[in-house]
Amino acid sequence: MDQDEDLDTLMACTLEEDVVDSIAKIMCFSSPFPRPASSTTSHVDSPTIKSSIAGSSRSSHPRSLRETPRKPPIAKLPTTRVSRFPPSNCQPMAKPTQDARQPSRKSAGAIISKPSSIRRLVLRGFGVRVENTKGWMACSEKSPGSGLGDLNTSKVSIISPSSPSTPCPPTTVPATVSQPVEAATPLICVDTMPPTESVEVENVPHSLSIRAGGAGAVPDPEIKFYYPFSGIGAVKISTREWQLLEANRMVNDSVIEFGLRLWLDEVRADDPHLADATIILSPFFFTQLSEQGYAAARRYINPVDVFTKAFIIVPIHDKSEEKPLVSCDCHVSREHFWCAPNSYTTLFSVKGAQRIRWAVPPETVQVAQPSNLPCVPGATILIFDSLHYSDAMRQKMIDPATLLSSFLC
Amino acid sequence: MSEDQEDVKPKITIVIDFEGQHCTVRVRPGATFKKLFEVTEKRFGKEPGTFKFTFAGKRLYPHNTAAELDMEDGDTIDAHLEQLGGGHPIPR
Repeated sequence: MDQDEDLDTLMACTLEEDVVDSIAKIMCFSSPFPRPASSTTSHVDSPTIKSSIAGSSRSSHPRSLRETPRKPPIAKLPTTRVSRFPPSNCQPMAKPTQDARQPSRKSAGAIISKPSSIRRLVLRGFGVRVENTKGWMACSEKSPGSGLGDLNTSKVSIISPSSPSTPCPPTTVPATVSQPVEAATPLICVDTMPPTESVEVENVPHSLSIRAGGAGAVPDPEIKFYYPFSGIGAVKISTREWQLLEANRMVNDSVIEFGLRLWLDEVRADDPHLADATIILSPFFFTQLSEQGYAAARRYINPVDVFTKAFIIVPIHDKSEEKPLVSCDCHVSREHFWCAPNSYTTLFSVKGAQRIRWAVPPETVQVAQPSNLPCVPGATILIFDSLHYSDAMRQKMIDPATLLSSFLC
Repeated sequence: MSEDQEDVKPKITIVIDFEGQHCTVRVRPGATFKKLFEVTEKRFGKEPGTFKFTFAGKRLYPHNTAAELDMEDGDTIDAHLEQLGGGHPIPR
């Protein structure tokens, strides 16, 4: 396939503010669709915008400041930089561990004690790997009926990226019932690439409760787990999503949302304040906004949630090009922080990840209820545009960023 | 929630929105969405399991209930088709 060649693209982020940097540092994406060559090296460096964003974020609204405390700059993270993941960094991660049943896959084995027994499913876009092991397969065979018991032992490992100074602490996975944990066979690995850096692995017992996603869930052999493992609105990862994570499969909205949430929880382990100040919208949100306009999209957000956040991540997993768009003439200043793909395989693409300043002064924000919500000045919208929807729209002189800001402002 | 409460609570009207088309269903707050989803998929002529339902941006599953989500009379559930795309090639 021609498209496959373009998949060999790795996007890296360029951010100057440590908070934004933390958000974007582990996002590493590729393109499933052809892209113009110019986009591969473009990096808009706009000190004016950066400084204004930083300034406005600090300016007022103590509640927002409480949510996004500014850490002192990390020495290893220059305030302005172009960070690119060289191919040498990314190659090890991109190679799945060899499996006896799938001899075409190569071994990476950075964090796995028994590489030959592992069938690695790579969620590249988020720097997240979901791994399926022989151990899991064996467990699955033992308890075929439950559908969830097969994941009752697992590990979550986090590998810190190369640039930050300290390794990320292990994630904590909410567990409803403690289960004995086997020593081997990591199942879910969260890493922020590259795998050659410091490694921390923690055994995380979690039952992947059958009741996750709400009370009264019925055991379903198709359902592997919900993420988060409990609570309303969790993302269901079923056999289908599991299969979609394999090579040459398209991914769906559930995988996108799962990956983003997994990634945000990884961020939370590193910086809880940052994670609290970040919200991930539904992948259906933008579709609804572009197709049906404000009223329909309005249902998707809780103003209390959205307008108190410093970072709003809007996943767009939609490539339809014939959709009517809601017109708007709101001016947005934005800059790309994605740049420089390299030539290795990744799962997702986020060419269109942008950050946007609010175009409208916070005082003018119209919020239904309650009216005195603090709107974070300089809040940032991160568009997770996995299918280059933005490109298609820009050809029609419509910018998703503009659309979003007109809605979210 | 006890069963007594469920029986006492009146049915609420839930609007299901699929790409602008609406379908109204009356459900008991304590009842699971299983039936509601089935009816919706039948109404729009889709195979069972086709739709992904969200309410206020949260994903709904057949075992959820309206009471769990604090739904009120006239609330809207959105039905979506799966968004599929992208992917990655066979690693070399």
